[in-house]
Amino acid sequence: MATVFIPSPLRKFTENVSKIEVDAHTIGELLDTMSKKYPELKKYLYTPEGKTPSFINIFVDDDDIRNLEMENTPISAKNLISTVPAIAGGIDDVTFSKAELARYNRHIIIPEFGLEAQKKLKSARVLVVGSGGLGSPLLLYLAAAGVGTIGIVDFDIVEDSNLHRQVLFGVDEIGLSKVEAAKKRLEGINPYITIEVYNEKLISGNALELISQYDVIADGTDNFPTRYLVNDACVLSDKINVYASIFQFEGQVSVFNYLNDGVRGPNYRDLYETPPPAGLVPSCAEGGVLGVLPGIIGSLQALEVIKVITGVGEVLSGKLYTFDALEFQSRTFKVGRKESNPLNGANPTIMALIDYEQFCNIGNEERQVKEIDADDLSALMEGEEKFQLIDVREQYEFDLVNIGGELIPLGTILNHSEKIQRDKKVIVHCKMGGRSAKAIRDLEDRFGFQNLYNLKGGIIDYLKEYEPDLEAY
Amino acid sequence: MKTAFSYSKACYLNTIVLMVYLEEKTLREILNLVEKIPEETCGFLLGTANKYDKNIVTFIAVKNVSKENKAQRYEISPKDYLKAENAASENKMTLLGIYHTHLNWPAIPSETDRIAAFPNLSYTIISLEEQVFSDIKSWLLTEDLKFKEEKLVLNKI
Repeated sequence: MATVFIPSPLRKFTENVSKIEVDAHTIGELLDTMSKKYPELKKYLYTPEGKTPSFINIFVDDDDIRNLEMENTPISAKNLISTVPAIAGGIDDVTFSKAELARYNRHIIIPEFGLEAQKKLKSARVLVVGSGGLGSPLLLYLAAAGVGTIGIVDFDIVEDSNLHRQVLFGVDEIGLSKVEAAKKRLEGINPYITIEVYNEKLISGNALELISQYDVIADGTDNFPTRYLVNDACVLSDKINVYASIFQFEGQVSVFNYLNDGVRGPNYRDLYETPPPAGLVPSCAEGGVLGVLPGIIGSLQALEVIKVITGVGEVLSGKLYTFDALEFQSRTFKVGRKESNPLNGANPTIMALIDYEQFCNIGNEERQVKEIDADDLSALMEGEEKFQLIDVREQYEFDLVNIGGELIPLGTILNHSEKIQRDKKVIVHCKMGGRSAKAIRDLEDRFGFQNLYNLKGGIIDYLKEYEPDLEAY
Repeated sequence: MKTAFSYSKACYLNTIVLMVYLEEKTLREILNLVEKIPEETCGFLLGTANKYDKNIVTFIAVKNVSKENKAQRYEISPKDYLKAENAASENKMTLLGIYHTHLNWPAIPSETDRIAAFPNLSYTIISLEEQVFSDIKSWLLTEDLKFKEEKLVLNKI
């Protein structure tokens, strides 16, 4: 019976025992007996080809079997056999092929940038959340610049109405998943990098796992729940979050949770501790956006990602940059850490990710309005019951497409309450359901209406179901 | 795992985070040995552990015996490994993992690290910029041979 020493990392396969007795005459026999007794050990003792793997050393007393007779080394009961993990590692030699050196030449010849910065780009792993308006220029420039591994998470498909700003895509990609279309385009620009895609929504359940695989996260999302999710996940897992957002004619950029001299910079919650009331700030789909704006802001975001990775220049940490496209005015505000920050202030209260949809809807729940969906509206239209249909969109939207509703734009509805009937069901709709819900709340609050119903999903959902031939917008 | 309930309406998700606790004093002691050295340095981390938490109590610095460029490679001799195991069991501790430094490189495992890594050991990487501490992160090799980051918490004493 020879005694075999089991190292700590393998003890979970041997019921936490550090020394086991094995009856064998050679090392080969010993390994065979051990892997029969503890089947999970086998892959650490043998390569698929049946050899001793390079990551394990086997010692008979003080001698490595590689210096003895390998598997045929004889052993006796007096011997102590030790299995020892080989511990080694280091940093990768970042090297460039001739083609890559030629490709990145204009970076490399900048004295302050040089080959060193280019190497850092090549070894970097960046996760881009959202491949829409901001994600388009961001991804194009990161890929072109030679960021070695780029992850993209998005669950959307390319739609025609995206193309006025999402310059990553063309008409041929309409209907395709954004991440797949993006991967193809980016590989076409730079074949020397790796694109990893996640065709899913970033949620509390997958965020930490995904983010843990990357060094820098770039948030190009268009909604508050995901923005808080990305921020909180980055702070909880000590990742840098390069943030940008746009609305109509205005854009913002900042670098959150940046590590400088061992100190973390501010994050999104130092800027906005809680989200605005739901529905107050419309999304691009509802509120619109000037197509070139995400091009400008997303490019600035790409710039900050590159500066964070390479350490070249001064990173936009502790500052919020804003750009007003109408006035052509940019301003940079100072942002500091706040004691009240629930993530990393004086008394942190958020230790794990929360439900962000619910979080961004807080304070809004009691203001829920009655609603019907496209099927209900269709049934009403077919049926006998009398009802009134009000469209609260703008005139130009109405001219594009309408379903016979009476047009009273949201901004004027409180001045025209007399047009709204009280003796039958009144269905109120807009494009997607946000503005009509607000109209109903205002009318209920001011005039005590009780017969108002919101069309869930707006005219868009209805057209999709019942008038697929009409052009949506 | 710690949880908190600041937003009563929000629901908390159970996400498993592996925690590694290290005293700042211990980190400072390690840094005293590894800063200002133009080569990768390495050693063992010893302490206590349960299913999710690891507490680093002490460390054993060992020699980098790599025969390649030591500024970019490290290797630990099997004899030092066995000594560390013995020291751990004599002191009723667990061999939790290995630390090593990266020179002018982030505290993120390289492909070289990944290929050589062994499962169920923490790989704690100390990044030095111009030979001065800049970052520390800890990693664990998963079953699918990818590194997962462990949350390293520096405790002040």
